Amino acid sequence: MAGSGRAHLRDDVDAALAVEDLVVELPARRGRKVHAVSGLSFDVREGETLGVVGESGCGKSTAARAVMQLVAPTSGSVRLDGQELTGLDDAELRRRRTRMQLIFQDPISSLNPRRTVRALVAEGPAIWKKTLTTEQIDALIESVGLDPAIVGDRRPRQLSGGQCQRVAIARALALEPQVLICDEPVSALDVSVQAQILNLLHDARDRYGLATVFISHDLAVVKNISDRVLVMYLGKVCEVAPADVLDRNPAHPYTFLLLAAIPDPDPHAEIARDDIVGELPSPLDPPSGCRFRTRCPRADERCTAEEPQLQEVGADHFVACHHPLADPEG
Amino acid sequence: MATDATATPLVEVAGLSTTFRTSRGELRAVDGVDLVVGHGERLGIVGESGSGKTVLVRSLMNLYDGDVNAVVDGSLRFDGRDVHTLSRQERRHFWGKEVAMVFQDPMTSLNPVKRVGAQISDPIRYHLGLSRQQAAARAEELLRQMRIPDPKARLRNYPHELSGGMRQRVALAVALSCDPKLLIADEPTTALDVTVQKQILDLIDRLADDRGMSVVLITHDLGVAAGRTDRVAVMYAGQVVEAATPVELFDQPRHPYTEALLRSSPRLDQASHTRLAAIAGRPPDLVALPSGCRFAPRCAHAQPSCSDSPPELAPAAVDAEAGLTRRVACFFPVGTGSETDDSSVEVTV
Repeated sequence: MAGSGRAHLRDDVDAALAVEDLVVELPARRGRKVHAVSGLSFDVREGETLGVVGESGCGKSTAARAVMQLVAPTSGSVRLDGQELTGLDDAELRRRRTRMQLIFQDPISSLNPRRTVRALVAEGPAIWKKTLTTEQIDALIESVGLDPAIVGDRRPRQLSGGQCQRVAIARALALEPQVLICDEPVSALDVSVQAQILNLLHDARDRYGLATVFISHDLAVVKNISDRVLVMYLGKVCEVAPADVLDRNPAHPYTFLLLAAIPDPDPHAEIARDDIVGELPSPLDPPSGCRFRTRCPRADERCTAEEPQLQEVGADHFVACHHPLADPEG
Repeated sequence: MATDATATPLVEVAGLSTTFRTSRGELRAVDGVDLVVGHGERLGIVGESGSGKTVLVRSLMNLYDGDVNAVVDGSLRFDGRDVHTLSRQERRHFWGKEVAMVFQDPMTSLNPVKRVGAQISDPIRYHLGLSRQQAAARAEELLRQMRIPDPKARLRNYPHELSGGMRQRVALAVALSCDPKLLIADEPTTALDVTVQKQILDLIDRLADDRGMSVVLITHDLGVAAGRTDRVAVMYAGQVVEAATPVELFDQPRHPYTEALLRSSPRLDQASHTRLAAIAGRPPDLVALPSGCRFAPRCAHAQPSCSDSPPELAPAAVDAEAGLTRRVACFFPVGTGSETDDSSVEVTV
């Protein structure tokens, strides 16, 4: 599947973040290469949330790191507010990158354990010689639903996972970013806390008009927070669709399989057993043509020979498959 | 699977409490849990981190025996026998042959420097007294049952050579090697991808069917428990707050915590951007527990009286009238119109 292509990119200049043909190949032993991300393109507008969903090893985290230029992309372009980030020298990159912030999965280990919450929140601006007043810091802490009088002088280990994730969000917001990239921000949290953080990210997006890239393995979470969802498999894009369309009308066999695997919180539903075959192939030696063909019930010779390109199958709905599910609703 | 009510249940736990001595004081991880698992029954235990679900099953396995900082109270009967009175020798055969467990992380539960084959064969040789060759043949057959392709070759692999899903299959093969009567699966799929999770859960389902084995499935995901268990116990702060069949639980949760948990999970059948009903606050500190209902400080329906004394786990008045066995620990169960405090009078002792 997962094919390449840019059919889903929208022709506008006001994309806050535009990624085109991003390729990340990481060196492995004996001169081999891990094909982590192979031709990923997407764009995100101001105030919009793009959900990126896929299983472990599909390249979603590597893609996030490459967009942030934390790993150098092998090729491709990343434009933040119309300005190219690849190929910049370090100083220039650091300066531009403040407009784009990353939130990680493990909120406790992503914070410096020796600093207080106030120091953590003020750290980003301080690096850029901008000292926040205590009032400004406390306003930020309050904006993520924490009481600065209680947590302001605490350190990460004195806080719960959910509270630490709030601090991480406050830290990101302190730099007034345009783009927020969240890499599995709620995966380590309990459902009741997860709901608090999802609501907080919703509010932050609305208040600051943030363009958000929300990466997760959980389709239900992604659907809740996103406007558009992009499904990845083994470094490639399978499908891009509006969040409300994807689960009802999946066009890609992999999306269908992912949806079928989600535990249905409806005890009346019959569980279909054994409809999932095989395991993820190695990204060291990905299959030719469509990368999903080794597990796909619809695969034929064409899928081996020819890589599918993203094509439009509905309003703002794109799929990279030679044999898309025609009318999955019927 | 329905349980034969007249037979002795496989597991009978009454008044189980597990307390740990910590530098901050006594930490009551499990507090007064009653639990019954029938032969061939599947029980789901659902709760968030720190709710005591793992400590509960570890106590059930008698794993805290010998831990000087842990105190386990209450009665624990397995297949009619008191687990506390087992001798050391008996206990060795209790683990593995009677009860087996699979854990969340198969990488840490398997021995990294031992071949997969030896890890499956060892318990077979120890418990069942089979020869090396017989055990190896049985190990291969077990891997085949776990739907591992090319089982003979896999026996010679080390755990690190296998994927996460394959490792969990091997851990299952080890657990099932001596035909236990009860399998305890503690978050067996939390570390796995959804497609692999489904494969493993389907496998556990089928194996339990084939062997008539009882299963205790611990999970934080109500969705996982929904379709795969006969009964679900919801835990909060060391106590079971609601026990019911999945259908009862999902159609009409009785405990406000169960209701809140269901409403805070995003669901695919909700429209995008649906505002989730988050549960305010945090679970109580297990070292300094509140006197009344432990959920009251976070509960949307709480009344001042909820903090006076703890509610007991018993059928709500309407359910008792309807002849249902579902139980809830709440003075004002959801969906019973109990704002009149009829039921609370009845439930309070």
